[in-house]
Amino acid sequence: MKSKSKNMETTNILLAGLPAAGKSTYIAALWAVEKDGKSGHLLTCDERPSESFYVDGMSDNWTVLKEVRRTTFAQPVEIVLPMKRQNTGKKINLSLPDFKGEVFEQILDNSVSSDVVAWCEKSHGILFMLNLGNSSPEVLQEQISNTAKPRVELEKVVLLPNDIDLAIQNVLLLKYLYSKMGDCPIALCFSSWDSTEYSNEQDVEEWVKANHPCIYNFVSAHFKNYRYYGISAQGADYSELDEKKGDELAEKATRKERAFVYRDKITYDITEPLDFLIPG
Amino acid sequence: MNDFIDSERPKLVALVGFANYGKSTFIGTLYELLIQNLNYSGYSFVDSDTYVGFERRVFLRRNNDEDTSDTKRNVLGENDILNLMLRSNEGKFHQVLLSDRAGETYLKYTSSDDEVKDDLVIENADLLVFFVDAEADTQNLAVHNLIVEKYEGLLTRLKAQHKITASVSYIMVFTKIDKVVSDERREKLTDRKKKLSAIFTENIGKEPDQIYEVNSTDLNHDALNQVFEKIISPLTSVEAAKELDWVRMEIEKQK
Repeated sequence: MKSKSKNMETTNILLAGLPAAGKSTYIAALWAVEKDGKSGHLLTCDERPSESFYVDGMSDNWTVLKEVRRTTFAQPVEIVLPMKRQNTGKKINLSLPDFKGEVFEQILDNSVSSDVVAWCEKSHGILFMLNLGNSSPEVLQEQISNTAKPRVELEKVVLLPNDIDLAIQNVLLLKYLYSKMGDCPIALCFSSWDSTEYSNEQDVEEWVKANHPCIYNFVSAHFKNYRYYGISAQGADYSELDEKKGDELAEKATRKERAFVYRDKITYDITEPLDFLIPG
Repeated sequence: MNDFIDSERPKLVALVGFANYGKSTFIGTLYELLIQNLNYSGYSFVDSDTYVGFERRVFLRRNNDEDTSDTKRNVLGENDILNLMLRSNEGKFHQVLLSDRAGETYLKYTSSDDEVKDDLVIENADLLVFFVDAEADTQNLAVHNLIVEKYEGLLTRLKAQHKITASVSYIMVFTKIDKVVSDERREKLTDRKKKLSAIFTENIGKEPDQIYEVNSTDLNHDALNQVFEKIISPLTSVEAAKELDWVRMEIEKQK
Protein backbone atom coordinates (compact mmCIF):
# COMPACT_ATOMS: atom_id res chain seq x y z
CA MET A 1 0.00 0.00 0.00
CA LYS A 2 1.87 3.04 -1.23
CA SER A 3 0.23 6.39 -1.83
CA LYS A 4 2.39 9.18 -0.58
CA SER A 5 0.83 12.60 -0.56
CA LYS A 6 2.79 15.09 -2.55
CA ASN A 7 4.70 17.89 -0.85
CA MET A 8 4.78 16.05 2.44
CA GLU A 9 7.88 15.02 4.29
CA THR A 10 8.10 11.25 4.69
CA THR A 11 9.22 9.73 7.98
CA ASN A 12 10.13 6.06 7.95
CA ILE A 13 9.67 4.18 11.18
CA LEU A 14 10.73 0.56 11.44
CA LEU A 15 7.96 -1.45 13.06
CA ALA A 16 9.80 -4.44 14.50
CA GLY A 17 8.98 -7.36 16.74
CA LEU A 18 8.94 -11.14 16.93
CA PRO A 19 5.90 -13.15 15.79
CA ALA A 20 2.72 -12.36 17.76
CA ALA A 21 4.27 -9.23 19.26
CA GLY A 22 1.22 -7.19 18.23
CA LYS A 23 2.56 -5.31 15.21
CA SER A 24 -0.40 -5.84 12.89
CA THR A 25 -2.94 -5.27 15.66
CA TYR A 26 -1.30 -1.97 16.44
CA ILE A 27 -1.52 -0.86 12.81
CA ALA A 28 -5.15 -1.95 12.67
CA ALA A 29 -6.07 -0.01 15.80
CA LEU A 30 -4.07 3.01 14.69
CA TRP A 31 -5.88 3.22 11.41
CA ALA A 32 -9.30 2.50 12.88
CA VAL A 33 -8.92 5.27 15.45
CA GLU A 34 -7.16 7.90 13.37
CA LYS A 35 -8.53 7.55 9.84
CA ASP A 36 -11.42 9.97 10.34
CA GLY A 37 -9.04 12.69 11.55
CA LYS A 38 -11.28 13.48 14.51
CA SER A 39 -9.44 11.98 17.45
CA GLY A 40 -7.63 15.11 18.56
CA HIS A 41 -4.61 12.91 19.21
CA LEU A 42 -0.98 13.95 18.81
CA LEU A 43 -1.09 12.53 15.29
CA THR A 44 -4.23 12.18 13.21
CA CYS A 45 -4.95 11.27 9.66
CA ASP A 46 -4.75 14.36 7.51
CA GLU A 47 -6.39 13.02 4.41
CA ARG A 48 -7.56 9.65 3.17
CA PRO A 49 -4.83 7.95 1.16
CA SER A 50 -5.81 7.29 -2.45
CA GLU A 51 -5.53 3.60 -1.75
CA SER A 52 -6.08 2.03 1.65
CA PHE A 53 -7.40 -1.44 0.92
CA TYR A 54 -4.77 -3.22 3.01
CA VAL A 55 -5.13 -1.20 6.23
CA ASP A 56 -8.88 -0.94 5.82
CA GLY A 57 -9.04 -4.73 5.86
CA MET A 58 -6.99 -4.81 9.04
CA SER A 59 -9.04 -2.16 10.79
CA ASP A 60 -12.31 -3.86 9.73
CA ASN A 61 -11.29 -6.93 11.70
CA TRP A 62 -10.38 -4.74 14.65
CA THR A 63 -13.77 -3.00 14.50
CA VAL A 64 -15.73 -6.25 14.57
CA LEU A 65 -13.60 -7.64 17.42
CA LYS A 66 -11.86 -10.25 15.32
CA GLU A 67 -8.22 -11.10 15.67
CA VAL A 68 -6.27 -9.08 13.13
CA ARG A 69 -4.83 -11.70 10.84
CA ARG A 70 -1.12 -12.18 11.16
CA THR A 71 0.94 -10.91 8.28
CA THR A 72 1.99 -13.77 6.05
CA PHE A 73 3.32 -12.04 2.95
CA ALA A 74 6.91 -12.85 2.12
CA GLN A 75 7.57 -9.23 1.26
CA PRO A 76 6.75 -6.48 3.74
CA VAL A 77 3.77 -4.29 2.90
CA GLU A 78 4.72 -0.64 3.11
CA ILE A 79 1.97 1.31 4.79
CA VAL A 80 2.02 5.04 4.19
CA LEU A 81 -0.35 7.14 6.25
CA PRO A 82 -0.72 10.87 5.63
CA MET A 83 -0.74 12.27 9.14
CA LYS A 84 -0.78 15.67 10.76
CA ARG A 85 0.79 16.72 14.02
CA GLN A 86 -1.92 18.37 16.04
CA ASN A 87 0.26 20.75 18.02
CA THR A 88 2.20 22.14 15.07
CA GLY A 89 -0.02 21.35 12.12
CA LYS A 90 2.94 19.78 10.39
CA LYS A 91 1.99 17.20 7.77
CA ILE A 92 3.91 13.94 7.53
CA ASN A 93 3.75 10.84 5.42
CA LEU A 94 4.20 8.19 8.07
CA SER A 95 5.72 5.14 6.46
CA LEU A 96 5.65 1.80 8.33
CA PRO A 97 6.52 -1.64 7.01
CA ASP A 98 4.20 -4.52 7.92
CA PHE A 99 6.71 -7.35 8.16
CA LYS A 100 5.65 -10.79 9.26
CA GLY A 101 7.22 -11.55 12.63
CA GLU A 102 9.04 -14.58 11.28
CA VAL A 103 11.27 -12.23 9.30
CA PHE A 104 12.58 -10.86 12.60
CA GLU A 105 12.70 -14.31 14.16
CA GLN A 106 14.96 -15.45 11.33
CA ILE A 107 17.47 -12.78 12.34
CA LEU A 108 18.09 -14.88 15.46
CA ASP A 109 19.07 -17.68 13.12
CA ASN A 110 21.49 -15.44 11.20
CA SER A 111 19.16 -15.26 8.23
CA VAL A 112 18.52 -11.60 7.57
CA SER A 113 16.11 -10.47 4.89
CA SER A 114 17.42 -7.79 2.55
CA ASP A 115 14.12 -5.96 3.10
CA VAL A 116 14.90 -5.62 6.79
CA VAL A 117 18.36 -4.31 5.99
CA ALA A 118 16.88 -1.75 3.59
CA TRP A 119 14.35 -0.59 6.19
CA CYS A 120 17.04 -0.34 8.85
CA GLU A 121 19.02 1.91 6.55
CA LYS A 122 16.19 4.29 5.77
CA SER A 123 14.32 4.42 9.08
CA HIS A 124 14.58 7.26 11.53
CA GLY A 125 13.51 5.29 14.57
CA ILE A 126 12.20 1.96 15.82
CA LEU A 127 8.74 1.09 17.07
CA PHE A 128 9.60 -2.13 18.85
CA MET A 129 6.71 -4.36 19.88
CA LEU A 130 7.04 -7.04 22.54
CA ASN A 131 4.61 -9.53 23.95
CA LEU A 132 6.16 -11.26 26.92
CA GLY A 133 2.92 -11.95 28.73
CA ASN A 134 3.22 -12.13 32.48
CA SER A 135 6.41 -14.14 32.52
CA SER A 136 8.60 -13.07 35.36
CA PRO A 137 12.23 -13.80 36.16
CA GLU A 138 11.21 -16.14 39.00
CA VAL A 139 10.02 -18.64 36.43
CA LEU A 140 13.64 -19.30 35.61
CA GLN A 141 14.21 -20.79 39.04
CA GLU A 142 11.91 -23.60 38.09
CA GLN A 143 13.81 -24.24 34.89
CA ILE A 144 16.97 -25.28 36.68
CA SER A 145 15.31 -27.96 38.73
CA ASN A 146 17.47 -31.03 39.19
CA THR A 147 14.49 -33.20 38.48
CA ALA A 148 13.91 -31.88 34.98
CA LYS A 149 13.44 -34.78 32.61
CA PRO A 150 15.44 -34.87 29.41
CA ARG A 151 13.21 -33.62 26.62
CA VAL A 152 15.49 -34.87 23.91
CA GLU A 153 18.66 -36.87 23.70
CA LEU A 154 21.53 -34.48 24.30
CA GLU A 155 23.61 -35.68 21.40
CA LYS A 156 20.75 -34.63 19.14
CA VAL A 157 20.33 -31.22 20.71
CA VAL A 158 20.06 -28.36 18.30
CA LEU A 159 19.36 -25.03 19.93
CA LEU A 160 16.53 -23.38 18.04
CA PRO A 161 15.59 -19.72 18.40
CA ASN A 162 12.46 -20.71 20.30
CA ASP A 163 14.56 -22.57 22.87
CA ILE A 164 16.05 -19.21 23.86
CA ASP A 165 14.39 -17.27 26.65
CA LEU A 166 11.83 -14.93 25.07
CA ALA A 167 13.26 -11.81 26.71
CA ILE A 168 16.70 -12.74 25.36
CA GLN A 169 15.23 -13.34 21.90
CA ASN A 170 14.08 -9.74 22.05
CA VAL A 171 17.49 -8.58 23.27
CA LEU A 172 19.11 -10.39 20.34
CA LEU A 173 16.76 -8.68 17.93
CA LEU A 174 17.45 -5.30 19.55
CA LYS A 175 21.16 -6.04 19.33
CA TYR A 176 20.84 -6.66 15.61
CA LEU A 177 18.83 -3.48 15.06
CA TYR A 178 21.34 -1.50 17.09
CA SER A 179 24.17 -2.88 14.96
CA LYS A 180 22.40 -1.64 11.83
CA MET A 181 20.80 1.59 13.03
CA GLY A 182 22.99 2.70 15.91
CA ASP A 183 21.71 4.91 18.68
CA CYS A 184 18.39 5.98 17.14
CA PRO A 185 15.10 6.87 18.87
CA ILE A 186 13.27 3.74 20.01
CA ALA A 187 9.82 3.25 21.50
CA LEU A 188 9.44 -0.13 23.20
CA CYS A 189 5.81 -1.14 23.39
CA PHE A 190 4.67 -4.02 25.57
CA SER A 191 1.49 -5.26 23.95
CA SER A 192 -1.58 -6.90 25.52
CA TRP A 193 -1.23 -4.44 28.38
CA ASP A 194 -4.87 -5.08 29.34
CA SER A 195 -3.79 -8.60 30.36
CA THR A 196 -0.59 -7.54 32.07
CA GLU A 197 -0.22 -7.52 35.82
CA TYR A 198 1.02 -4.15 36.97
CA SER A 199 0.37 -1.64 39.70
CA ASN A 200 -1.22 1.70 38.89
CA GLU A 201 1.39 3.27 41.09
CA GLN A 202 4.19 1.88 38.98
CA ASP A 203 5.16 3.52 35.70
CA VAL A 204 5.96 1.24 32.80
CA GLU A 205 9.70 1.85 32.98
CA GLU A 206 9.73 0.67 36.59
CA TRP A 207 7.67 -2.33 35.51
CA VAL A 208 10.26 -3.21 32.86
CA LYS A 209 13.07 -2.85 35.39
CA ALA A 210 11.29 -5.21 37.76
CA ASN A 211 10.04 -7.76 35.24
CA HIS A 212 12.49 -7.71 32.34
CA PRO A 213 15.76 -6.31 33.69
CA CYS A 214 17.86 -7.78 30.88
CA ILE A 215 15.86 -5.77 28.34
CA TYR A 216 16.08 -2.62 30.45
CA ASN A 217 19.83 -2.99 30.96
CA PHE A 218 20.51 -3.60 27.28
CA VAL A 219 18.39 -0.69 26.10
CA SER A 220 19.70 1.82 28.64
CA ALA A 221 23.30 0.91 27.81
CA HIS A 222 22.86 1.30 24.04
CA PHE A 223 20.09 3.83 23.35
CA LYS A 224 20.00 7.36 24.71
CA ASN A 225 16.58 8.24 23.36
CA TYR A 226 14.23 5.49 24.44
CA ARG A 227 10.79 5.31 25.97
CA TYR A 228 8.64 2.44 27.21
CA TYR A 229 4.90 2.02 26.70
CA GLY A 230 2.32 -0.51 27.65
CA ILE A 231 -0.12 -0.88 24.77
CA SER A 232 -3.48 -2.50 24.43
CA ALA A 233 -4.44 -2.19 20.78
CA GLN A 234 -7.39 -4.57 21.08
CA GLY A 235 -8.58 -3.08 24.36
CA ALA A 236 -9.42 -6.50 25.78
CA ASP A 237 -8.79 -10.20 25.42
CA TYR A 238 -11.36 -11.35 22.83
CA SER A 239 -11.55 -14.81 24.35
CA GLU A 240 -13.08 -13.30 27.47
CA LEU A 241 -15.80 -11.34 25.69
CA ASP A 242 -19.47 -12.21 25.91
CA GLU A 243 -22.05 -10.20 23.94
CA LYS A 244 -22.44 -7.57 26.65
CA LYS A 245 -18.72 -7.03 27.07
CA GLY A 246 -18.35 -6.97 23.30
CA ASP A 247 -20.94 -4.22 23.07
CA GLU A 248 -19.15 -2.27 25.78
CA LEU A 249 -15.89 -2.57 23.86
CA ALA A 250 -17.59 -1.39 20.67
CA GLU A 251 -19.00 1.57 22.59
CA LYS A 252 -15.51 2.41 23.72
CA ALA A 253 -14.34 2.21 20.12
CA THR A 254 -16.98 4.76 19.16
CA ARG A 255 -15.64 7.11 21.82
CA LYS A 256 -12.07 6.30 20.72
CA GLU A 257 -11.40 4.89 24.16
CA ARG A 258 -10.91 1.24 23.29
CA ALA A 259 -7.21 1.07 22.48
CA PHE A 260 -4.95 2.61 25.06
CA VAL A 261 -1.36 3.25 26.04
CA TYR A 262 0.16 3.29 29.49
CA ARG A 263 3.26 5.07 30.72
CA ASP A 264 2.27 6.20 34.21
CA LYS A 265 -1.44 6.35 33.53
CA ILE A 266 -3.84 5.18 30.85
CA THR A 267 -4.40 7.45 27.88
CA TYR A 268 -6.27 6.65 24.69
CA ASP A 269 -3.83 8.30 22.33
CA ILE A 270 -2.09 5.33 20.75
CA THR A 271 -0.11 7.67 18.49
CA GLU A 272 2.08 8.67 21.47
CA PRO A 273 4.91 6.22 20.64
CA LEU A 274 4.93 7.35 17.00
CA ASP A 275 4.87 11.00 17.97
CA PHE A 276 7.86 10.34 20.22
CA LEU A 277 9.76 8.83 17.28
CA ILE A 278 8.96 11.44 14.66
CA PRO A 279 11.51 14.25 14.67
CA GLY A 280 10.60 17.91 14.94
CA MET B 1 30.85 -2.89 23.11
CA ASN B 2 33.41 -2.19 20.42
CA ASP B 3 34.23 1.19 21.92
CA PHE B 4 34.83 -0.52 25.19
CA ILE B 5 37.07 -3.23 23.79
CA ASP B 6 39.26 -0.60 22.23
CA SER B 7 39.83 1.13 25.52
CA GLU B 8 40.03 -1.47 28.28
CA ARG B 9 41.48 -4.90 28.75
CA PRO B 10 38.88 -7.59 29.52
CA LYS B 11 39.22 -9.79 32.57
CA LEU B 12 39.87 -13.40 31.63
CA VAL B 13 38.55 -16.11 33.92
CA ALA B 14 39.36 -19.73 33.12
CA LEU B 15 36.98 -22.36 34.45
CA VAL B 16 38.98 -25.55 34.75
CA GLY B 17 37.61 -28.97 35.54
CA PHE B 18 36.99 -32.43 34.19
CA ALA B 19 33.85 -33.90 32.69
CA ASN B 20 30.67 -33.59 34.74
CA TYR B 21 32.24 -31.41 37.44
CA GLY B 22 29.48 -28.83 37.08
CA LYS B 23 31.10 -26.04 35.09
CA SER B 24 28.23 -25.53 32.68
CA THR B 25 25.61 -25.58 35.43
CA PHE B 26 27.71 -23.04 37.30
CA ILE B 27 27.91 -20.74 34.27
CA GLY B 28 24.22 -21.16 33.48
CA THR B 29 23.31 -20.09 36.99
CA LEU B 30 25.60 -17.06 36.84
CA TYR B 31 23.98 -16.07 33.55
CA GLU B 32 20.47 -16.47 34.91
CA LEU B 33 21.25 -14.37 37.97
CA LEU B 34 22.62 -11.67 35.70
CA ILE B 35 19.62 -11.59 33.37
CA GLN B 36 17.12 -11.81 36.23
CA ASN B 37 18.51 -8.90 38.19
CA LEU B 38 18.64 -5.25 37.26
CA ASN B 39 21.73 -5.05 39.38
CA TYR B 40 23.67 -8.03 40.65
CA SER B 41 26.26 -7.35 43.30
CA GLY B 42 26.81 -3.79 42.10
CA TYR B 43 26.86 -4.56 38.37
CA SER B 44 24.31 -4.56 35.57
CA PHE B 45 24.65 -7.09 32.76
CA VAL B 46 24.20 -4.95 29.67
CA ASP B 47 25.38 -7.03 26.73
CA SER B 48 27.13 -10.11 25.44
CA ASP B 49 28.41 -11.34 22.12
CA THR B 50 27.70 -14.88 23.29
CA TYR B 51 24.07 -14.86 24.46
CA VAL B 52 23.46 -18.02 22.46
CA GLY B 53 26.39 -19.78 24.11
CA PHE B 54 24.93 -18.97 27.52
CA GLU B 55 21.46 -19.99 26.42
CA ARG B 56 22.80 -23.30 25.12
CA ARG B 57 24.27 -24.06 28.53
CA VAL B 58 20.99 -23.20 30.24
CA PHE B 59 19.09 -25.28 27.69
CA LEU B 60 21.32 -28.31 28.12
CA ARG B 61 21.07 -28.01 31.88
CA ARG B 62 17.28 -27.95 31.67
CA ASN B 63 17.53 -31.18 29.74
CA ASN B 64 19.89 -32.56 32.31
CA ASP B 65 20.96 -36.17 32.14
CA GLU B 66 23.34 -37.03 34.91
CA ASP B 67 24.94 -39.85 32.96
CA THR B 68 25.91 -37.56 30.13
CA SER B 69 29.43 -36.18 30.21
CA ASP B 70 30.00 -32.51 29.65
CA THR B 71 31.91 -33.38 26.51
CA LYS B 72 28.46 -33.63 25.03
CA ARG B 73 27.17 -30.65 26.99
CA ASN B 74 29.80 -28.41 25.45
CA VAL B 75 29.09 -29.18 21.86
CA LEU B 76 32.29 -29.82 19.99
CA GLY B 77 33.35 -26.94 17.82
CA GLU B 78 31.35 -24.47 19.86
CA ASN B 79 33.21 -21.41 20.95
CA ASP B 80 34.34 -21.94 24.51
CA ILE B 81 34.92 -18.30 25.37
CA LEU B 82 31.85 -16.46 26.63
CA ASN B 83 31.72 -12.78 27.35
CA LEU B 84 29.81 -10.53 29.71
CA MET B 85 29.63 -6.77 29.39
CA LEU B 86 28.90 -5.22 32.77
CA ARG B 87 28.22 -1.72 34.03
CA SER B 88 29.03 -0.68 37.57
CA ASN B 89 26.78 1.50 39.73
CA GLU B 90 29.16 4.34 38.86
CA GLY B 91 28.44 3.83 35.15
CA LYS B 92 31.82 2.34 34.29
CA PHE B 93 31.84 -0.57 31.85
CA HIS B 94 34.03 -3.64 32.04
CA GLN B 95 34.12 -6.93 30.26
CA VAL B 96 34.62 -10.43 31.63
CA LEU B 97 35.64 -13.34 29.39
CA LEU B 98 34.82 -16.80 30.66
CA SER B 99 36.66 -19.77 29.26
CA ASP B 100 34.40 -22.82 29.57
CA ARG B 101 36.06 -25.68 27.78
CA ALA B 102 34.77 -29.21 27.66
CA GLY B 103 36.16 -31.38 30.44
CA GLU B 104 37.59 -33.64 27.75
CA THR B 105 40.07 -30.90 26.83
CA TYR B 106 41.54 -30.87 30.31
CA LEU B 107 41.57 -34.65 30.45
CA LYS B 108 43.80 -34.62 27.37
CA TYR B 109 46.04 -32.07 29.10
CA THR B 110 46.74 -34.65 31.84
CA SER B 111 48.30 -37.01 29.34
CA SER B 112 49.95 -34.94 26.66
CA ASP B 113 52.45 -32.08 26.62
CA ASP B 114 51.45 -31.37 23.04
CA GLU B 115 47.90 -30.63 24.13
CA VAL B 116 49.14 -28.20 26.80
CA LYS B 117 51.80 -26.32 24.91
CA ASP B 118 49.49 -24.25 22.73
CA ASP B 119 47.24 -23.23 25.59
CA LEU B 120 46.93 -19.47 25.90
CA VAL B 121 43.96 -19.21 28.20
CA ILE B 122 45.46 -20.59 31.40
CA GLU B 123 48.72 -18.78 30.80
CA ASN B 124 46.96 -15.45 30.49
CA ALA B 125 44.05 -15.87 32.88
CA ASP B 126 43.50 -13.26 35.54
CA LEU B 127 41.68 -15.82 37.64
CA LEU B 128 41.72 -19.60 37.50
CA VAL B 129 38.71 -21.41 38.92
CA PHE B 130 39.35 -25.10 39.54
CA PHE B 131 36.23 -27.22 39.92
CA VAL B 132 35.92 -30.40 41.94
CA ASP B 133 32.82 -32.56 42.01
CA ALA B 134 32.27 -32.84 45.77
CA GLU B 135 29.71 -35.58 45.34
CA ALA B 136 32.17 -37.78 43.46
CA ASP B 137 35.10 -36.78 45.66
CA THR B 138 33.33 -37.99 48.80
CA GLN B 139 32.35 -41.37 47.44
CA ASN B 140 34.82 -44.21 47.70
CA LEU B 141 38.54 -43.64 48.01
CA ALA B 142 39.25 -44.94 44.53
CA VAL B 143 37.21 -42.15 42.93
CA HIS B 144 38.90 -39.56 45.12
CA ASN B 145 42.30 -40.98 44.19
CA LEU B 146 41.46 -40.64 40.52
CA ILE B 147 40.45 -37.01 41.00
CA VAL B 148 43.75 -36.35 42.78
CA GLU B 149 45.70 -38.17 40.10
CA LYS B 150 44.05 -36.26 37.27
CA TYR B 151 44.59 -32.86 38.88
CA GLU B 152 48.17 -33.78 39.73
CA GLY B 153 48.74 -34.75 36.10
CA LEU B 154 47.16 -31.54 34.86
CA LEU B 155 49.03 -29.24 37.22
CA THR B 156 52.36 -30.96 36.65
CA ARG B 157 52.11 -30.50 32.90
CA LEU B 158 50.89 -26.92 33.18
CA LYS B 159 53.77 -26.11 35.50
CA ALA B 160 56.33 -27.84 33.27
CA GLN B 161 55.13 -25.81 30.29
CA HIS B 162 55.23 -22.57 32.33
CA LYS B 163 51.51 -22.07 31.86
CA ILE B 164 50.94 -21.63 35.55
CA THR B 165 53.08 -19.77 38.08
CA ALA B 166 52.89 -18.64 41.68
CA SER B 167 51.78 -15.18 40.55
CA VAL B 168 48.40 -16.50 39.39
CA SER B 169 45.24 -15.86 41.31
CA TYR B 170 43.26 -19.07 41.75
CA ILE B 171 40.37 -20.49 43.71
CA MET B 172 38.95 -23.98 44.19
CA VAL B 173 35.23 -24.61 43.90
CA PHE B 174 33.68 -27.82 45.23
CA THR B 175 30.37 -28.25 43.42
CA LYS B 176 27.22 -30.31 44.15
CA ILE B 177 27.65 -29.66 47.84
CA ASP B 178 23.93 -30.29 48.32
CA LYS B 179 24.69 -33.96 47.64
CA VAL B 180 27.16 -34.14 50.50
CA VAL B 181 24.82 -34.37 53.45
CA SER B 182 25.68 -37.12 55.92
CA ASP B 183 28.24 -36.55 58.68
CA GLU B 184 30.40 -39.25 57.18
CA ARG B 185 30.45 -37.55 53.77
CA ARG B 186 31.10 -34.15 55.37
CA GLU B 187 34.08 -35.55 57.25
CA LYS B 188 35.43 -37.09 54.08
CA LEU B 189 35.06 -33.78 52.31
CA THR B 190 37.00 -31.91 54.98
CA ASP B 191 39.81 -34.43 54.78
CA ARG B 192 39.89 -34.66 51.00
CA LYS B 193 39.71 -30.92 50.49
CA LYS B 194 42.90 -30.63 52.53
CA LYS B 195 44.59 -33.30 50.49
CA LEU B 196 43.60 -31.77 47.16
CA SER B 197 44.46 -28.21 48.11
CA ALA B 198 47.89 -29.39 49.27
CA ILE B 199 48.48 -30.76 45.79
CA PHE B 200 47.49 -27.44 44.25
CA THR B 201 49.72 -25.57 46.67
CA GLU B 202 52.66 -27.82 45.94
CA ASN B 203 52.34 -27.55 42.16
CA ILE B 204 51.41 -23.89 41.85
CA GLY B 205 53.67 -22.67 44.61
CA LYS B 206 51.00 -20.90 46.63
CA GLU B 207 47.80 -21.70 48.47
CA PRO B 208 44.46 -21.07 46.77
CA ASP B 209 43.05 -17.59 47.38
CA GLN B 210 39.89 -19.25 48.64
CA ILE B 211 38.15 -22.63 48.70
CA TYR B 212 34.38 -22.63 48.22
CA GLU B 213 31.67 -25.24 48.58
CA VAL B 214 28.74 -24.45 46.31
CA ASN B 215 25.37 -25.66 45.17
CA SER B 216 25.03 -24.26 41.66
CA THR B 217 21.33 -25.00 41.45
CA ASP B 218 20.49 -22.74 44.39
CA LEU B 219 20.51 -19.12 43.24
CA ASN B 220 20.55 -17.91 46.84
CA HIS B 221 23.52 -20.00 47.96
CA ASP B 222 25.91 -17.66 49.79
CA ALA B 223 29.17 -19.27 48.77
CA LEU B 224 28.01 -19.51 45.16
CA ASN B 225 27.24 -15.82 45.10
CA GLN B 226 30.64 -15.05 46.63
CA VAL B 227 32.34 -16.90 43.77
CA PHE B 228 30.19 -15.10 41.21
CA GLU B 229 31.09 -11.74 42.73
CA LYS B 230 34.78 -12.62 42.52
CA ILE B 231 34.36 -13.58 38.86
CA ILE B 232 32.42 -10.55 37.67
CA SER B 233 34.30 -7.87 39.60
CA PRO B 234 36.53 -5.71 37.39
CA LEU B 235 40.28 -5.95 37.25
CA THR B 236 42.23 -3.84 39.67
CA SER B 237 44.25 -1.06 38.07
CA VAL B 238 47.43 -3.12 38.51
CA GLU B 239 45.90 -6.15 36.83
CA ALA B 240 44.45 -4.02 34.06
CA ALA B 241 47.89 -2.70 33.17
CA LYS B 242 48.96 -6.17 32.05
CA GLU B 243 49.08 -6.31 28.27
CA LEU B 244 47.02 -9.04 26.66
CA ASP B 245 46.76 -8.40 22.96
CA TRP B 246 45.87 -11.97 22.10
CA VAL B 247 42.53 -11.62 23.89
CA ARG B 248 41.58 -8.75 21.62
CA MET B 249 42.55 -10.85 18.64
CA GLU B 250 40.37 -13.69 19.90
CA ILE B 251 37.42 -11.32 20.28
CA GLU B 252 37.93 -9.93 16.82
CA LYS B 253 37.89 -13.49 15.45
CA GLN B 254 34.59 -14.19 17.19
CA LYS B 255 32.81 -11.19 15.67
